[in-house]
Amino acid sequence: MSKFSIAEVNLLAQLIQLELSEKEAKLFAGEMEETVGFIENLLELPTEAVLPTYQTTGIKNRFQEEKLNERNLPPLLALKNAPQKRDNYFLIKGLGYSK
Amino acid sequence: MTTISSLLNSYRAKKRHPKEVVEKLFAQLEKHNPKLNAYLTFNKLAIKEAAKITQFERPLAGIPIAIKDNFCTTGLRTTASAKLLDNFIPPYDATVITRLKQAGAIIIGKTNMDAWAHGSSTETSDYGTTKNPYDYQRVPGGSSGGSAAAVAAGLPPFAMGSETAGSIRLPAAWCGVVGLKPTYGRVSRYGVIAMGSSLDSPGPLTRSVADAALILQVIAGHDRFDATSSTEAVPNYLSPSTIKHKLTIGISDDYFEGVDKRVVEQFWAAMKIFEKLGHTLKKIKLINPKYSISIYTILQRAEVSSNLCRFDGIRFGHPRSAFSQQAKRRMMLGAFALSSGYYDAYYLKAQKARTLILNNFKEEFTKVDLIAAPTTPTPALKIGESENNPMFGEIMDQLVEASSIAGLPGISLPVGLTAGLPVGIQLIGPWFSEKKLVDLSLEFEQETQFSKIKPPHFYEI
Repeated sequence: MSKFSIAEVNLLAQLIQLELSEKEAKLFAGEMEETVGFIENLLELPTEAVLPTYQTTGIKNRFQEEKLNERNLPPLLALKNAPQKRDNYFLIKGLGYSK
Repeated sequence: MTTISSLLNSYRAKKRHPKEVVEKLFAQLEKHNPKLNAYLTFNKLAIKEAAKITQFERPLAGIPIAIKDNFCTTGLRTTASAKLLDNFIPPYDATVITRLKQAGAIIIGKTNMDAWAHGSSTETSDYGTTKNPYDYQRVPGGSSGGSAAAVAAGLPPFAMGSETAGSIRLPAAWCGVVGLKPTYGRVSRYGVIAMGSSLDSPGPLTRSVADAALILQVIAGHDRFDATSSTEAVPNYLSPSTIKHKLTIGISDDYFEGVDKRVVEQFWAAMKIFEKLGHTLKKIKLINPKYSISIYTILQRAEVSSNLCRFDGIRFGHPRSAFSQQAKRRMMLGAFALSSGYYDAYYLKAQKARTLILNNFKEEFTKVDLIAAPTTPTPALKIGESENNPMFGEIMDQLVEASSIAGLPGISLPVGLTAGLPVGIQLIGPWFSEKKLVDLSLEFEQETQFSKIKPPHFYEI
């Protein structure tokens, strides 16, 4: 029996909007236990006295003015790869909670 | 050997023209790519673009280059080897691509990789495995495996790859070419399909050190479209050596545990050459790579889980059901490591352990100039050997992970063949020490002539 139940695996999948087949859920439950077991050796490292590193070259809080620049795509280009669109908008399914 | 500078000289002397070079290259690719599977998409406009070039002043004027398929290229399909992006035609160029084009480079096509860069063999590609030019039964390494295989086979000998931890250096080692992973932030990530955003570093794969330095010169530098891009001044990587005194090269015993005996032998033979050149070897103590595997696994999968959330099938690509298994596997563990109740135990713990890795390197770099180690624990594996190991990539990349976690630059150099397969060593330097890495690598290249190592089918461009 894995440390991860099939229900827990499916719950995690839901968080990242993935639908898993029964076979996949079972596979991942086993593999995740294996991987989590492998990385447990982190506990051997003394980290009480250090702060986490999120950025390795020392850059902090960079801001820039929000204005149009050459990076902004015109609507036609931005929509070019969209599977469904209408009047310069991306077309999406209704949200889960709306009727 | 044909290098960027020899090709440029032949253009400038009007002995050759890019159109003829690119045409011949495509003729070769037509013959060899079906077997090699190094390219996913060819740039059909390449010959036309090459024909138009009349001025050869720019640093890469008319130089053909292969591009890993995770760099966005305007009008040229970009899939990151994932079927989810099978139909994605980027409406813009990655900054690296903009700079290569401005320098006059001709994009030949987009190279195969592990899907989303998740892997170290190209076996997770949704478009089939690339073959190692030294042995078609073996993988080229990955994730930049298509680029490494193309360079090794001379098709062409210049390519772009990207590395999160190992994706440039490992395939470079397994294909017997030069792979340069710059400091994090030295080269812009803008327009590169993200894997681990705190780690991703684009860099060149080439057959010679000077070519790698030249491409780095073109692509390095601040980019305001990448918030983590560095403002540190870019030195002249091509200037005469700035090494004024003999260097001290650090070696840590921990980097040899479980490493194939043949790789270890080749490593020490290479170290003898550095000693012969007058440099000194010194024992240092690095944190054991078994911890880097754990730290890297958590950080990378957490970042993957977050980054791949943007693929919603609404703005481009297919729906999320199109993800293949390896991407799902990584996202799942990442979601777990970031989830409430486990965040402190895994993600935060790993980010703190990352500080220990940084401190360890800072401390050791007060004693030595550069660090040397084998690049990989084994030579190239057979196709299929990685199956059934959910952490195969992380284990194969164990000797480069610490330096990636710390954001350090590194270079993998070919040192020879063992049983017909290439072996690589890596040099790791302090942050932004690419010039020193290039200078020492050039000394080593001149002494060993390693670029004479070629696979059975090699095309001299």
